[in-house]
Amino acid sequence: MTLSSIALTFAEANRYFNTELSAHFRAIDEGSLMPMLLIFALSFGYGVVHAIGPGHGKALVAGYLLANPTKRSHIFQIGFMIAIVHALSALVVTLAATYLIQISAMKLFRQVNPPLFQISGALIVLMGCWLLYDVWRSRSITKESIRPQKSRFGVVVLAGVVPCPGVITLCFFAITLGHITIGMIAAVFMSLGMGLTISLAGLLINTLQKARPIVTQPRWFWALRFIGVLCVIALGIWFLLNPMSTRAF
Amino acid sequence: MFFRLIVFACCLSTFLGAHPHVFIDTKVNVLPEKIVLTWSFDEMSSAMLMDDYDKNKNKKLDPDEVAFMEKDHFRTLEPYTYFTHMSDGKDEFDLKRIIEFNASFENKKLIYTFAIPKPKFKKYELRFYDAEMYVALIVKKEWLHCSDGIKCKVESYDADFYYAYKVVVQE
Repeated sequence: MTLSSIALTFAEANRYFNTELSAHFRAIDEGSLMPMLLIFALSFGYGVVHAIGPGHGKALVAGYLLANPTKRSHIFQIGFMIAIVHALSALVVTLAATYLIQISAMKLFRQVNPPLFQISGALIVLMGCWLLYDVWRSRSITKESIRPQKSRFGVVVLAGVVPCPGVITLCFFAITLGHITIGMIAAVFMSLGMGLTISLAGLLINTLQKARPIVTQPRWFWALRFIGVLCVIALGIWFLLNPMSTRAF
Repeated sequence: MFFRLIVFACCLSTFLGAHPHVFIDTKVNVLPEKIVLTWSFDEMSSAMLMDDYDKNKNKKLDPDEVAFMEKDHFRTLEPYTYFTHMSDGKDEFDLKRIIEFNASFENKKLIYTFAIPKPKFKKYELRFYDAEMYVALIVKKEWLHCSDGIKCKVESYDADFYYAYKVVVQE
């Protein structure tokens, strides 16, 4: 199985959820409760699948967790909060575009996302520098003495602040059909799905950190943290230098 | 191996910043004199684009709206070679000439139809992908039609990290 075939399966799965959601949104007007429940379930599934793709802060979370090991419960906290901020940011953009500024969500999205992406990149670089200082300072400390830091809430904001285009599309579609409330609830379910995927990605890193060579060798552990910091800084620089495309889609 | 896996995972994710939000069902019709492509956008993206370009909100695209859509939306995809990459099997060539563009709104979906001139090669590939990965172009066997005497088939295009299908044509 090649990476390309995995990517195609991923694209087809996203398309499936997108198509099914559209169909069930249209079926709401038939008066049955079932389409609404299916929308929520599908939105959760769409969130899980959607966040498997590149983006959504997984790389940032991975780099951060490598640099700054934390408890499993904190990983889920980080994952779900990133997803909720990501979705809330999209909701704000969509609602502001539709009801406040009254321009199309597509246009606002094109104007808002690229600068937000760059600002987020600059802040990630700053956070990376701070983590670098922290990791360098603690180069003789073993894993047992590392304490989870409060900066995880900074990661949440930095990784989640760029609105999720998937949520924008979903909400905007709901608004055009006159089902804004259901659209907003669907966005919450979608964010929970995304949160699960991001958390599982974080958990994978956490599991790798518990590998025998890491646990028994403080130098390796420190090297791993250092790699994590470099990943965070590299990600920030990438965001900064490669803003999102301003094209329509 | 363990470290390499971690570094690879982090770096890979770092250099990929997007995932598909727009899904286009792509129909390919290889005719003796040209290739006609039909894009059918997913319903959600269709709704967003119609909100922008159906100015009189009659849920139809009038000729002036189609003209504006072509200029303001479709032609802006030229730097992305309209997500269609012609290849002789080795090199890829950007699409320079697009003809007969039309847009319509049918069954709640936005449809773009356009044609491209045929290449000079006897055997060639049409690779459908967006290098930035915002758009996933889906091609299925049943959406491919070739005129008599022309053989063609749909395959996946093995360019890692692209969501790609390709159509291989043998004249």
